[in-house]
Amino acid sequence: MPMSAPTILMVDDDPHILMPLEFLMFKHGFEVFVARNGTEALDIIEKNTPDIVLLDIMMPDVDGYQICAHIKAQPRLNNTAVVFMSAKSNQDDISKGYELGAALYVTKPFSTRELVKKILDMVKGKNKSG
Amino acid sequence: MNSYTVLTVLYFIFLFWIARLATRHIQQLYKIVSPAHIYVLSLAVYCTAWTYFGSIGNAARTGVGFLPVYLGPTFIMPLAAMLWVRMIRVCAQQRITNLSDLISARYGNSISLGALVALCYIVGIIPYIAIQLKAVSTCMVFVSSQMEHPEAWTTSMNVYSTMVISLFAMIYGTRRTDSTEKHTGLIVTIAFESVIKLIAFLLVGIWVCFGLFSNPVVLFDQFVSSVHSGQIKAFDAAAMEPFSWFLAILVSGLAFITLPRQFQVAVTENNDEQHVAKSIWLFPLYLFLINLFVLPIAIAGRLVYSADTDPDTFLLLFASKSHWGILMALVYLGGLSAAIGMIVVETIALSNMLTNSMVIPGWVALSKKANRLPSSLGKGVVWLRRAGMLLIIMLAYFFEHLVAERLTISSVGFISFVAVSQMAPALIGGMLWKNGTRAAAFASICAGFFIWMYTLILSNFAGWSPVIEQVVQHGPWGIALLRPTNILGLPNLDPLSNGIFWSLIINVLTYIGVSLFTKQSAEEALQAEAFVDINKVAVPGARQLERRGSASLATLRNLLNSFLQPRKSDQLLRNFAQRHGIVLEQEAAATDPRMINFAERVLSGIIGAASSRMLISSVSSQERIAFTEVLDVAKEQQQVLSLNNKLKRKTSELKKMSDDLKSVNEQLKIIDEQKDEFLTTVTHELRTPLTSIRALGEVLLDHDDVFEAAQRKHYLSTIVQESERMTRLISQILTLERFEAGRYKLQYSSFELRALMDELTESIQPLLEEKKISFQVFMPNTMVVLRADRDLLWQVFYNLLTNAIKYAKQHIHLHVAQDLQSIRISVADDGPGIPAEQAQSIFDKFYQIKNKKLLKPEGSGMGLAISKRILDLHEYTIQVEANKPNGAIFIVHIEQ
Repeated sequence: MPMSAPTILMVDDDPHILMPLEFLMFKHGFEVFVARNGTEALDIIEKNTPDIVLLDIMMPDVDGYQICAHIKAQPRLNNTAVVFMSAKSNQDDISKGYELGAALYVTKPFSTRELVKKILDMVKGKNKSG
Repeated sequence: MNSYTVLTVLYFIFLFWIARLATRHIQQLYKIVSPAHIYVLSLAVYCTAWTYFGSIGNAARTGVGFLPVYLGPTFIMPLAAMLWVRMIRVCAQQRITNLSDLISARYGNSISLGALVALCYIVGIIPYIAIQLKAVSTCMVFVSSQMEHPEAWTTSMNVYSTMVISLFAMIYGTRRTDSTEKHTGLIVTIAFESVIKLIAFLLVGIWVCFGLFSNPVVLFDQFVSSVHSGQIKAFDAAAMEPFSWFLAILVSGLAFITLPRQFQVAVTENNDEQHVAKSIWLFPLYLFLINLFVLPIAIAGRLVYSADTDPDTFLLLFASKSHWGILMALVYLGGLSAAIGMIVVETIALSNMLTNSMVIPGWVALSKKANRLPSSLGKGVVWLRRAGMLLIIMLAYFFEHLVAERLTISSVGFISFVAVSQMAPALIGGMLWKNGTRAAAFASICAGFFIWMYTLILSNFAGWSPVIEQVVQHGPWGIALLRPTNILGLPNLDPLSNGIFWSLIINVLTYIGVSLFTKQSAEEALQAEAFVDINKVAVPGARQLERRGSASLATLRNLLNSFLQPRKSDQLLRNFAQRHGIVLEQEAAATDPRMINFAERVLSGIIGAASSRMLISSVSSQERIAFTEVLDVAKEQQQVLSLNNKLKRKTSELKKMSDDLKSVNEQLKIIDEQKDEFLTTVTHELRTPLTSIRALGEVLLDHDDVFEAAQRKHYLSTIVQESERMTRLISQILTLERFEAGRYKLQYSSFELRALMDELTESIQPLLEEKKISFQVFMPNTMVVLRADRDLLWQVFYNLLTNAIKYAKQHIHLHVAQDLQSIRISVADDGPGIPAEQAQSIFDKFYQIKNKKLLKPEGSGMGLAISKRILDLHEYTIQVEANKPNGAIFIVHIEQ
């Protein structure tokens, strides 16, 4: 099967967190999209079908939950896995994320090493089943 | 001895026999006739000789004018029944046997009121008894007309029969001393007489309608045609004025309730309240039957007899015309019955009033004045009553011989009705309205009675003196509007209606008016409640005052022995003591107060409530019920009420406290939530830079080989920046915490504002240049000196200015204005501005964080919150307003 590069969309309103993550994902062979707010993210989703969407929750315009719900509502994005990364560490907030169909929820601050590993596992698993 | 003498004597003997039989064998009699029917028939004592002869006379003169007398009771029967049930209960509870006692008791056992009522009744009713005697003699004159020496026979029979009637009343009306005991024999006799009246009347009616004429239609046809042909005279006043009709019906209905004989049979002699309910329809039925043939007989009388025949005698004439001896005898006996029944019952009732309300109170008062125990009366009460009856019948007899000759049965009857209805406001009002007072009862009866005399009696004495004639003809002092027969000159009011109208209206208005303006005594108020609430009191007498006086058993026994046989009084006392678990100790020792109350009630039945109360007071060491005692009862109730109110108040206080607690709890919850939220927010704010620092650090560590120097430097400087951001955040949180906890002490110094502003301008210069924003300061020319914590104020304006720089597009203006009292410093930018609804919350901690929808500039979001706390500490104020055309203005207001 022709292995095209997996795509990842990373959304956060804090540019300082996006910078190292962008570097890491690019290094692992992802095609990387970056959005600084919810509106940008929705635009990118409209035009692309990312394999992974890495989402912050608290953003000024559209929050991460809404974006996740939007993704899950579209059949076209059936294979897109959502990963939340948030400073919200309440059990309620985490449950809400999984209920909306997220594949993973990591609380800030997190280990980039583990996050990258998990994302890579996800992509591999998808390729196997796909 | 002729046949009518024999008949009369036999009938009297028969009546005595019935009375005696009924007294001894009443239970056997009840198997044949139900007691309820006997009760209803005894009510028919209402139908006197007035009905028997007078109605026909009245009908022959005025047509249907006889009807109001029967319509009144028919209409008022439901009200009467309701009142009777109440009266029966009250009378049983308070051992009351007559109307004067009842009215006196209702208005606080007033002796004077009782005497007034008794007097008015005697005056008002003696003429009425007189016309019954006249009816008896009319009967006898009639039957004697065929005799050899009619005059002698009539006179002697008249005297004899009056004596026999008196005897009957005296024997069967006062069988025992205690007048609360029922006179069964008397009542059965009255019921029997009612049957005789009805049968005789119906038989004559049927004979006239179907014997003399072939049927009622023929009778009426003949009558109508002979009126048209002018052969006979029609009715004098074929149609009464509607208002006169109404008044006649009203006064008949009221009299039905206030007549002593009706009270006697309906209330005093009642055995069972259920009978009253039955009478509601059975009694009107009796009235209907006895009136069925009044009009046909009257018409037939006009047709058959000449115009100068007294129509009161039509019934007798027709009975005689039938040539049936038995019918004649029945009508004769019916007439006698109607008169005798009325005379006997009315006399008994009046004599009870006379003795209970006038004679005995007087005697008790006299013996009290003489300071001795009234012990001489004994069985004498019975004889006193009998003497009273004799006196009343004698008075009536003489009245008949002196005056009644000139009067028709019907007119005297009505005048009596008006007299007795004067009791109606005080009686009915007293039974149904608690506020009626003794003074009102007294005044209304006096007023009503006076007008009765003035309008209906005075004109009969016009011939006696020219002064009276003058008043009757032209009014007192020649004032025509006050003429007795037509007061105020109301149109279409005949003299009788005039009397009814004015006496009743003034009576009622007096009763209500005086009641509203006078106060009840304590005893009166208690009685008013006992009467009006009679249906509400569960235990009879429960609300009565406890008499706390002391009297020995021997004293009570002696007192009762004055009126009862010693054996009987002993039995009564023992039974009562046993029923109530009272131990009867030595005769001389003070006995249980309940015994005293009981003795009072027993005596009430014998000599009336008012006298009894007076007697008991005189033998018990305690005087009449002290006003304070009544007050105590009232106070007790008041206390219960106020306790109730207190409880209510306590409850509401408790509720208020619990509400307060709830709201405090709510506030605590809110504060707790705020605290939680604060913690969450702080940790969140710390997590964000920490995440970047960690990620950047990990990447640098893991991929050191691939980085170029420039990139590494960028990463490292970001780590430093983020660390600084965290440091700033922590120190601001601590500052805020210090301000909020009130631990910060302001370091006051006086300084010049311009110098502070210059320093500020200098420190924000790099930021302004970076964002290419112009900054202008407008200061007054004079020196502005402040006394405040200079470092903190510097912090405030630094926050405001950096904040403005974050949002401004091109300009920031700082204005300082000063007047005598205050300094106003404003910082204005031309950024997006702040929505009005957020003008307050903008000063909350972490406002920015909670409102992520705002564009998020640099900073912790706590600058404004800290500034506000600092200004609060100085007691300065800050507010934010909209700048025109856009932007926000922060205004600091400093009161000097």
